[in-house]
This record gives sequence, structure tokens and C-alpha cells, in this order.
Amino acid sequence: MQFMGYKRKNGQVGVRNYIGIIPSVFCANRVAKLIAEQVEGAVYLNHPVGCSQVGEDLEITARTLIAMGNHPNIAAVLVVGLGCERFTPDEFVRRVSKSLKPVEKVVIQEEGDTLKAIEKGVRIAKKWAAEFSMQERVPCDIKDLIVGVKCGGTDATSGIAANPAVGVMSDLVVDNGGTVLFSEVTELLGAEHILADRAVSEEVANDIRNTILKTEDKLREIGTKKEFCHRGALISTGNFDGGVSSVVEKALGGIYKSGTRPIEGVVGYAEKPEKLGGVYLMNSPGHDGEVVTSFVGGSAQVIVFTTGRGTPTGFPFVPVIKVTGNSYTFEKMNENIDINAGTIISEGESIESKGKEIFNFLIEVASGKKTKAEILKHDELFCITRV
Amino acid sequence: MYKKMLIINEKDNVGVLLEDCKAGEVCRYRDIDVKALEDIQFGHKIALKDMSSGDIVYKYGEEIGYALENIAKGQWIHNHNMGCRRGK
Repeated sequence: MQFMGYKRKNGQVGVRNYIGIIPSVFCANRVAKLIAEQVEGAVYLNHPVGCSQVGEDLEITARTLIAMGNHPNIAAVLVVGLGCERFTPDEFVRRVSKSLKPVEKVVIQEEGDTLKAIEKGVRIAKKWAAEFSMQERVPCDIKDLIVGVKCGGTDATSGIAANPAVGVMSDLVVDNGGTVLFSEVTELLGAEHILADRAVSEEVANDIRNTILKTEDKLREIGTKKEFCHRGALISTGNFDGGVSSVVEKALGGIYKSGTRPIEGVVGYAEKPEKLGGVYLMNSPGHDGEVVTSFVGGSAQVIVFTTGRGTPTGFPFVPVIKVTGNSYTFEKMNENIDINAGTIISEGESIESKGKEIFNFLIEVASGKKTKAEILKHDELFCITRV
Repeated sequence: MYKKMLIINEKDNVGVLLEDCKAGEVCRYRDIDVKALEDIQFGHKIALKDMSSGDIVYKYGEEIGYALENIAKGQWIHNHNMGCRRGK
């Protein structure tokens, strides 16, 4: 099975063709934004990190920003630095240049000021805009496609309609040679035995159990402190309102998204699986943004996102397909949600046929069709996790 | 007039309401009927049998929590009367 994508020099395949303007540190955010606003086809990434961090925390920031630069949906990268930050623009450029795509830097302290940095940056980016506007989509195989599956704003319909339908899509992606990433480890408690049973080996089964149990230990440490016990809920107000009563109930409904195929392994935050094809658990903590950023860091070119309560969010350079299992939400938030799986409940449509519809939509989106989040320029989901 | 309900797994002791229901209305899944003892919203859970405090609550054929008090068949089951030991 094929889709129409952009072939990169290193063999990767993009589903979009943006010029990425990426700050190495938050101090360069505004300059990066103003450069991107002048150039057609450019996107910029806003973030609050890149300095005064140490150890694992700085490593995750660096790894994630480098992964954004290396992402196949980005044709060329302009790093915008301040000049004195800990994650240096030089390291950023060096690590992205390994992807063989054009990469340059603008450093504010070297250029002199905001205006000079913007001018230099716009001149570089506009040269690429002309060049990459001529690149054409070519037939690409689904084995080069990595899809991240996520839910956010979960209600009780997510576990009985949207997630099972996305699970059918996940199986179709894997059966066609593609890769599926799932995560949300803080919301897998109580489902570890089911996931471990799907592992390709006892070693992977142990990795899955350990990943979930370690996360549970961390939650217990943070959430049960007496002074913060009023902030101890593991699922959100909207989940409760929507009929989900415990983190385990949420987990059991959530894991349907990953389908039924064997789990090949566990990968770290924003890391790409070494071998493509099959289902991987990504060890990411946190909210929708941190998890989706981890998927994109793992080179996911498309995200499929289920939402019962309804959420409008998107990612700056990766299409996010929204699926709801709640027909009321689909009507109310029609401008934000691409697919209504609520028909499984309201009209008795089969989970299989809805799953196939989502798969076909995925192929269209991978071939260039814009999602509702893209059309409205939603870009909230770029959030790097902290340690 | 019956209200639509879903029982996901035969091991489950709760049903999921597929529409809002009022106290006294009967919720139906195939040949199983349960009369709601209170108003229950779309997506929320109804007890399919009497439970004692401490009994395990099953949905998806798996344990999702335990009864915090005695719960009668037809009652709404949610975080006010169901606890969960995980992550705590």
C-alpha cells in the first residue's frame, strides 16, 4: 500500500514539506517567530527551554530539539540561537546536518540585534522556500510511515467507540508494514498484564511491566504527599464528568488504540525505534503535548488523536487527525474534529468499518489532505517534557 | 421505552449507558434489563447486580476498582462509591 510523500536524501519520507525555524533556546523564540512569519512554508517552534538545565533534563531537551530538526516533514532547518545558551547552536546544527538536509544558523549575539538576526534568517529561509516549493510528492510505501496514537479529553465513549476503531486502523498500518507508537504511560496502570501478553518476547514483556510500574512509583511519590493530596487525582475533571471513574478504567479503554498486533519493544522519550514495522510503547510521561512531541521526536509523520470531550490542538508541522466517539461532541466541535466514530454508538456502525474509514483518511492525510487542526493553524502540542 | 445500555464483557458487573436515563427507567442490553435507581448520564456506569463494600468492579472484563460501600443493582457507579488502589 502506498501514499504520496516527500523523499528525503537520507531515505526518510515526509508527509509535509516545511522549512523549520527552530530556536535552540527560549530567548530566541521571538526572532524565530518573526523570521517564520515572513516566509511562505516556514514554521517555527516555540519552547521554554534550552538553558540553565543539567543532566537528563538538558539531554532530553537537546535530543528532542535535534529530533525536530531531523524530522522528515521538515525539508530544511534554520537554527536560531542567542549565543550563550547551554544547548549550543553549533551542536544543534552539527547533529541535524547528519540528516543530509540543508541546515544553517543565525545567532542573535553574533549578528548584533533582533533586526539584524531576522534579516539574515529571512534571507536564508526564503532561498529554501523557492527551492522546496518545486519538490513533488512521489509514491511511498506505508512501511516508511510512523503513526502516533493518542487520546486526550477522554470520556466513556473513547473506550467503547473511538479507541477500538483507531485500533482497527493501527492493525491495518502494521499489517501493511508500517509502525505504530503508543504511550501515555501514566494512564496504563492496570493494563500492564494485557500489554505484556502482546510482547514479542519475555524481555519486552518485562520492559513493558517495568516501564509502567516505575511510572506508578513516581506517581505515588508525587501524588500522595499530604500537603498536595487535593491535587492527587490521576485522571482529569473532564474524564470523571465523562463517566470514567478510575485510572485503570481509562487505561483499559485507552489501550485499544494500539490495536492487537504484537508489541515489538519499548522506546525512550523522543527516540526512534531502531527497527521499523510493528507496534512500540514509547516511554513518555505527561500531557497531550509532551506525548505527541515524543512521538514526533520518534519520527511519527502523522498523529491520530481520539477525544470524547473534544480538543482543538495541533502540532506545528505534523498533521493531527481528531477522532471522537461522541456524536454530541462531533456536532458541537465540528470545526475541530475530522472523524465521528460516535456512529458506532448512535447508529450501530461496526468498529471494523469505522477503523477502515480512519485508515483511508490517514492515507489521504499522509498524501497531503489537511486536517482540521492544520487548517485552523493549531500548534499547541509542541511541548518538551522536563525531568 | 427502554434506555440503551452496553455491557462490554460477560464478566462485567456494570453496564455503560448509551443515553441519559432517569430514576425508574429501565436500561436494556440484549435480554438484560436493569431498572435505574437514580438519574444516570450518558457514558456513565450502572450496577448490574448488588455489590458489597470491597467487591471488585469489572468493566472490559477487567478490574477497574472496588466498591467503597454497599451498592444496589441499578445504582450509578462512579468515583463517589468506587475506589481504585493503583498509583496510590
